[in-house]
Amino acid sequence: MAGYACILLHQSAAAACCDQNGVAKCSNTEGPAGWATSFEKLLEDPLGLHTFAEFLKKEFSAENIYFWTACERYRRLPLGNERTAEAQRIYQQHLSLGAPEAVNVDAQGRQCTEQSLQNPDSNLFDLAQKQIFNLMKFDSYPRFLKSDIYKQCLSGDIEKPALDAGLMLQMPTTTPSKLKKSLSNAEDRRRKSLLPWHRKNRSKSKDRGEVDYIQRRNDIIASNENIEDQIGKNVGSDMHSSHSSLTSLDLAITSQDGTKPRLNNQDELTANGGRTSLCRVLLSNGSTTVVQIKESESIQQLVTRLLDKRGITYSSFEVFTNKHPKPMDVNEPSIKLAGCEVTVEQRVVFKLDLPNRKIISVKSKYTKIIVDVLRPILHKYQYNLDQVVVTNANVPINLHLPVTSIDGARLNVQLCEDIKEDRSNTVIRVNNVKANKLDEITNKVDSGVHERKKKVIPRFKGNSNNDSAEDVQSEQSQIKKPLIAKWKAGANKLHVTCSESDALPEENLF
Amino acid sequence: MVCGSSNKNVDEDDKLYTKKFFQTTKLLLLGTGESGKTTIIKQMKILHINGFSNQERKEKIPFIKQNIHESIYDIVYNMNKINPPVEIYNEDARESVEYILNVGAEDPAEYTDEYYEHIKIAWADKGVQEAYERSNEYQLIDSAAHFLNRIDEIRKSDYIPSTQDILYCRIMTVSISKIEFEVPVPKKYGGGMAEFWMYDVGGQRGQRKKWIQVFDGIQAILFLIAASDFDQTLREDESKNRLKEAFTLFGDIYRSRFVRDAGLIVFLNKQDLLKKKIEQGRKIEKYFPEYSNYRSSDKESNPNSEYDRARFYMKQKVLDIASTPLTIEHIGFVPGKNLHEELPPRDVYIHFTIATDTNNIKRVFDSVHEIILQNVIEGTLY
Repeated sequence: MAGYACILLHQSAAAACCDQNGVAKCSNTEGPAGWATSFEKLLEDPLGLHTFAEFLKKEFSAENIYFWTACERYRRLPLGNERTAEAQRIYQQHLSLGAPEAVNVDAQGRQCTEQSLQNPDSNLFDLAQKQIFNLMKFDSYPRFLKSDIYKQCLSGDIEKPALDAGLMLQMPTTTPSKLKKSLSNAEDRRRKSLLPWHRKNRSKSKDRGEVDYIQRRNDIIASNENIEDQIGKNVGSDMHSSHSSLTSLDLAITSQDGTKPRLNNQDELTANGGRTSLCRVLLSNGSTTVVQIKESESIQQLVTRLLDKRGITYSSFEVFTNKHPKPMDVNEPSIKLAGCEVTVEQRVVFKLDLPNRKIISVKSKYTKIIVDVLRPILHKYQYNLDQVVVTNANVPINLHLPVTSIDGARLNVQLCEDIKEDRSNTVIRVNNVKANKLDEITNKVDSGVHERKKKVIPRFKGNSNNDSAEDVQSEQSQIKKPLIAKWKAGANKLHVTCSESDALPEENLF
Repeated sequence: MVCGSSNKNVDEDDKLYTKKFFQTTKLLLLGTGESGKTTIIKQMKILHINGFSNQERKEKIPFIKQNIHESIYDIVYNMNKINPPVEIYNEDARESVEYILNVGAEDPAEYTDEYYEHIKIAWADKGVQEAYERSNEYQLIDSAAHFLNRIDEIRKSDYIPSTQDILYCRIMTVSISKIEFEVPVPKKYGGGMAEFWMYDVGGQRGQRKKWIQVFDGIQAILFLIAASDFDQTLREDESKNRLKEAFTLFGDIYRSRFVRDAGLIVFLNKQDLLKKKIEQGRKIEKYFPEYSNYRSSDKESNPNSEYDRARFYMKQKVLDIASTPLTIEHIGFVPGKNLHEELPPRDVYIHFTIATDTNNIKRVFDSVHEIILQNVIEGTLY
């Protein structure tokens, strides 16, 4: 449900972030001039990394930078099947005999990887990655600094390279600010870059693999991250974390001595690298806490980590700060919260099956009473609360309970007269029967359809100017017949374009 | 490369590029890893461009120091890994060896006096020297001794690498790069200047599938074989003999349909190291049993010289590969030829080279140039 909420929020929040991440904030990076200081510096800057990759493509050695970034992403994967599979993928792609993008590691580097491929730990590729890092550093990097590409960058004549999912150090959704910093209209570019057919330089199948696995990665990281283990721990001493530390310094405010953060007094703080950025979080229950920001985390992950630690479950929440006028996009990197007073407001989300077969999603402040939320909504659809029965799993609900009692539920609204007309027990779930049939029909693409459902919701948001301003509601098109046709069409399309992927990038559907 | 900076120039640039492409003699350096391809590129820069400026020399210092560390580390790291292991001879050197092992495979952040002293002590140790002599049993760059013997020079704060240092400096190639130069044409061939483009590639197995990118329009392939590699194994696969791999690869290139029209010039390189190894008593027959029965029939070969026997044996191996019949089946469809028809063998020119010796390479390149010019006149290369 949390994911659901964030999608509801997504559009307005994303727009707000675009406003805030304009050109003015790009000044923190050193830019092309800094790339000459060291090879590490070059790779720390996403634009540098991409430009370097463009250069390598011209020299036919881009496999090295793809391998290196794949290793960076791999290192951040949690233990589990996902990691084993990813280890295999990288091995097959870059290290195995006859690998399509073989990198030049010595026998030791390969054997080292082969030996622990079945039980991969996070430093499985370290030796090989280090070798490739050195190869690029010693062979390609000096030439890069003398290349026309680099000279053009220095003179400000940068041809912005298209973003490449294969070169992301992290998953795109957790670092959108990174993209925005380096590229104008980053939102568009990001979408484009996820569509395999927009990219010219690499084979489609490879692209799809990348997109696919990045997408899967998101889900896994969001759900599996070992929170207790990481909270309060400063992950930032090794090579890779230094990259992300530079990604978004916009708000990275750190305490100078690193021990006694005084968030209220900005004068004592300096923006110096963001390793130990902090923010103060106020939860809906009134409690407040100072949270350490980890570079790799999205806002969503940070809040979830905090809630989990406190044993609180919010099916949905919104994040406000004292520095941003609009709610934060929870997919943004949490570094955006550095130095902010952050308010996390719980939101309640539930669905309503209306008598006219529409289903609407309702999002509400958690402080409300059910009846106060339902009345204006039903009114909008020309129903009167007195003439309907609202049930949750066939049990009528008490409308005078707080709305939190129906968090995540799917309520059925029926007209009293319908119930009187048909007294059989099974009558209530007419909609459900049909829905089940629908499920059977679209069984194969069930997950894809759910993705689609979520995505559809915000589209209708603009129409729902309802009486109660805090409540966001949306409706899904529920006129069944055309819907099936539509879904099936979508299903076929999915099947054709992404037969190999088990999680679909949302962008593919539109 | 000629690349358009703005759209309207692209067409013109393309035309210019195409024109130049056809006027230029394109040479491609091929060979297994560490066979000396990049060294040839450096020689071309010395011979036909402007050599190395002081600035460029200074830029090489970090790489030379990295070579020093890699060399000494690989030697001391492998001392007790090889079979039978080598012991440190002088107990005083133990501390230095441990110091180097502690620094690790990565080169140190700072090259201190302490560091250089430890390296000198370790390198002077008889045990370490013995491990160095057996470096064919593990992976060590060829320039190890050159740099380790020059530590006192290199550690100086005003050190500027010599041309030899630059030629010996080992940087593994991972990309495809190109060097452009002009060479005066001898009067008998009409005088003027001839333009050359020479392409350098990485030689390890994983790199070879990139080669096809530069096969187009190549007039001649300079195929390098490190002759001294006969007792070493591949860096990327330690179960495979380097020289055998080189011969196999040469066979593949010889038969490749993609470079069928290119002249083949083989450099049997690293003759200095080969000579040294033979004089040390290294046995080629240990790796190539048929060598025991080999007697050189070449008139240039001195029958009393084991080194001559060795190098002409290798030359013969190349000639054997180059005289195996080629059928269309090997090559694929050739217009106007019957599928089972035998194709005439390709001409292969063989040179003994020392890529780090500028004079040697100058002579060899002049003769390569002449071969190309003759072939251009005869029209066989086009």
